Amino acid sequence: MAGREWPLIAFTLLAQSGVGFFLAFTLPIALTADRPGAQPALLRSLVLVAAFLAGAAAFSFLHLGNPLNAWRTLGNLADSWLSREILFLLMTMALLTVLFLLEWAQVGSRALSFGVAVAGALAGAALVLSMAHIYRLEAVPGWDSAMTLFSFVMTAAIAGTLGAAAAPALGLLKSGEAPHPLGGGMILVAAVLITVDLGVVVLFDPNFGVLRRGEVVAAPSAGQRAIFLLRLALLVLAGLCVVLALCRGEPVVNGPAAWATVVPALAAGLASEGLGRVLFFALFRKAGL
Amino acid sequence: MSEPDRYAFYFDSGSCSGCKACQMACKDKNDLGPGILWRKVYEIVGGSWRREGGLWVSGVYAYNISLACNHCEDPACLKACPTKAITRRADGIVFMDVRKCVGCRYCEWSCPYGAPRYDDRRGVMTKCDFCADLIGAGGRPACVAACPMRALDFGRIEDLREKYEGTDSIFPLPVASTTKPSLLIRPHRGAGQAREGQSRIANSEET
Repeated sequence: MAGREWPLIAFTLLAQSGVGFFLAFTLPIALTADRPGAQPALLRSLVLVAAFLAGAAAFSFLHLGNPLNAWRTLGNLADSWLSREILFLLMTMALLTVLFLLEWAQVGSRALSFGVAVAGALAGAALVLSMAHIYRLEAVPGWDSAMTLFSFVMTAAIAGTLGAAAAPALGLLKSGEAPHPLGGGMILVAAVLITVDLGVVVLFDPNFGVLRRGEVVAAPSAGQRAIFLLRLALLVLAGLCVVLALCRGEPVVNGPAAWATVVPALAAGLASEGLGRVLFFALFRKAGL
Repeated sequence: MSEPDRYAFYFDSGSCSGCKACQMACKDKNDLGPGILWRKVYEIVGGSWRREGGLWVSGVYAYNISLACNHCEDPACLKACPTKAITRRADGIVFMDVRKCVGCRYCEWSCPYGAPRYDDRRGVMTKCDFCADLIGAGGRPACVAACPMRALDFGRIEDLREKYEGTDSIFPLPVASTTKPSLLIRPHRGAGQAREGQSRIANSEET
């Protein structure tokens, strides 16, 4: 893998994690923000999501040879998924900024905030889908599969649900504020997602999966094999931590219990997705010439 | 046949000696820096000796493919480019405006022929422009003019098809239906034996 791919790894991980956290944690609060005590958590989480997306945007510049022309990247929306990706990134950031301002300044109707939140969610989902489309290239068979879309969506989903589960422990939802509308439901969803991710990766990873399409992918190195095994181990660790949290039987895991369960699950899940993204970019190999 | 008037390259793989005069003429004419090749000569090798009774018979083959941008009818690079730095002229020439390039290298990923090349010094992509200035003045592209074996030619695609027999896809070129390259190749006799996994590009580090 060429060193120039690191900004793209950071960009995709940050953007997908930000969108995932918005959908899993912020959006449910935004849609029920008329509850007393709901607003502080909404504003805090919007700032966090904005920071993720802004960080992603900053990293995207680092892989450009001529960043002064970045303003031109919206120029080919009709054909280029890269243009569409930038459009959806800007749309998501703009809509979340508007939502923050509406809630912070307490202006506009509830219906307006509701509409902006839903539009932001749709733009965020479109951002993740457009990212996956960018890599569906006939000239790069290792990327041109449904696994690309799956892995990008799973990064958003796992980061989002684990982030939502760990949010109280990380100070994003404080005691005395309105509880999250979904309660501890995200812990169960995270457990399901981790199980699905683990199963699909073990079966269909392009290089190491039991049912892999090995004929189109470059032979992996011993280092890549080690990274793959570490990724699986981290995913299993994240799953075990989530199961421990579920076994407590409490709707919200907070305090020391969270730091022994959902917080390490979030760290392990993010690290596993990061390693998965490193392996994804290592699949780059042109067909033909 | 669609767009019969578009410009195309013809390459006779059977006549090519692999001297790379075309490659060097292109670098010279376009003042390309180290590591940037708009036209590349790929050396394809494969085969082995086999025993037939008491005899050892050679099945070894080697041939060259001189390839630049194929100025495709359906260019993958053009669709990928987010800044519309890549455009296609009415005469079929796919043109890169480096002033608009953001240097994201997405065209490099997308092109199945590896035609767009990154210029590290300027941070932009570059590619063959068919020597549009030369042919506009009634001349020939530098690579065509430089070939001592007359293995390269250019012209309108329909004229080339009337003049020569050939194909637009031999090993290891991708399937032509992907981008519809403006290319006609007369295959070397060894090309029929070349297969994925049994043949290789011997000078991949150079190209």
